[in-house]
Amino acid sequence: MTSASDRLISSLVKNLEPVRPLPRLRLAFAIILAVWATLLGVVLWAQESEAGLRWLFSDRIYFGSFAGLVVASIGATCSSLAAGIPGRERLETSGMIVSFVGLLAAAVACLVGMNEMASAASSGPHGIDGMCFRKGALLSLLPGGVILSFLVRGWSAHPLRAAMLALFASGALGTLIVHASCGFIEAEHLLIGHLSVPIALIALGSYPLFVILRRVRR
Amino acid sequence: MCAGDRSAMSSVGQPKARGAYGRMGARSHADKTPSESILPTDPPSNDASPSDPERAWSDWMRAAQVGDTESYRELLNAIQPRIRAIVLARIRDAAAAEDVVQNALLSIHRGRATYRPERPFGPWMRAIVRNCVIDHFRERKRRGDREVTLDVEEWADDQSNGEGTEDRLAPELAAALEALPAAQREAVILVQLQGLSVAEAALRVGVSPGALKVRAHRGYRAMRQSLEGTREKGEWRSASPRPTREKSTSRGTG
Repeated sequence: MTSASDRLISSLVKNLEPVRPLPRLRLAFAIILAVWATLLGVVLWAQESEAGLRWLFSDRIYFGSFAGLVVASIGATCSSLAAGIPGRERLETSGMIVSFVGLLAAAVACLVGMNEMASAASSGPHGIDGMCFRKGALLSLLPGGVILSFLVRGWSAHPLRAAMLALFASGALGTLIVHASCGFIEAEHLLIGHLSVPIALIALGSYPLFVILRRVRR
Repeated sequence: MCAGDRSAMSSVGQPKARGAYGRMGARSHADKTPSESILPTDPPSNDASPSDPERAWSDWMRAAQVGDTESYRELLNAIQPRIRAIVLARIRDAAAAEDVVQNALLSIHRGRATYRPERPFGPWMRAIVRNCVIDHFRERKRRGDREVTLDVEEWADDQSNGEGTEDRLAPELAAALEALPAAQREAVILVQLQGLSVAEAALRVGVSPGALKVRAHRGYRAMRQSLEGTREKGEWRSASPRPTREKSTSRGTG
């Protein structure tokens, strides 16, 4: 028995190659934040219509959903980064809880807004929900790529959970840019066109990403 | 072993230490004074405080990350008893525990880039070992009652006279083995005939332990079908006991 382990150790030592340690979580988080901020700046600079951010302190529904998304993005990003590092389970779990609480708070804010505006007719342009959804999904690619590049270099104890967290984080970051730039702030639109992006990404991408992470772990 | 000895030993891995990742701030040992060597100045000893061995492990891992093979060997040999103790506290089956120990060593090897030298080594290592133990229980539960093995494995051992070579198998068994796809045949031969552990066989083939188990399991199943077909046709030529289909726990799967 032990000799088998000794032989294994000899094989591992023989196959040893230098590796570059993963960057610190703070650095990885800062990189993702920089990528996200650059994307936000580009989107705000490129768009001609007024940004939704002007409603931030004047509309409590918009503020609630925005704050919830910010919390969800930060929590999910921290959690997904920690998911690739053994021994950081506490950060992973707490980030996961924070992100779900954030998304829940954003959804509740939208539902409250929908309840208050139930009698009002929708004044949004036709197909704007789908447009914002696609935009959010597209904008999530870049931060998602950075998170994924970190995860594939790591060692995920739970590849499925790591995949879901990465998709949640990238979706939340992408849709937060849409949230900040979209000038249409009707609660129903915020819920369907914006908040559904991370959920849809989890539903559609978890399994393929899980397969990739599991393969990488091997 | 004194610090000087270890420094001499670590020079084996020196070229690698100056390799592609030398610019990562990990200076080679030759660049360091003895007092600031990245290797521990004292080996872990029994009378040291609990944090001392972990500090040494951390230093060894830091050296291993830049390719120092001797430090890596020291590290793996030093942590192996600790890993075994953790695993045996949770898994009573010695054979299964040994497989988990080897999986943990493999996981530590594959995940060594995730260790940050400024963080304690112990929690990092224990997290990997804990996950390997959890994986073991998950896999055992997943396979559960579906796991069917054959007495033919023991029969093969008897036939092999301890040598474990394919040539010494009974003709029916050798034919069934020969009929397997190459990947499955390789897995069966390595695990059952050559007596390697799952982790060792996986390392040799270059796949994960889970993938190797799947290959071997499919191989056993295909061999069983082949042997049953032969028995039904009355084509047994060997005087050895016929393989029977029985449920039992599989080797290496708990």
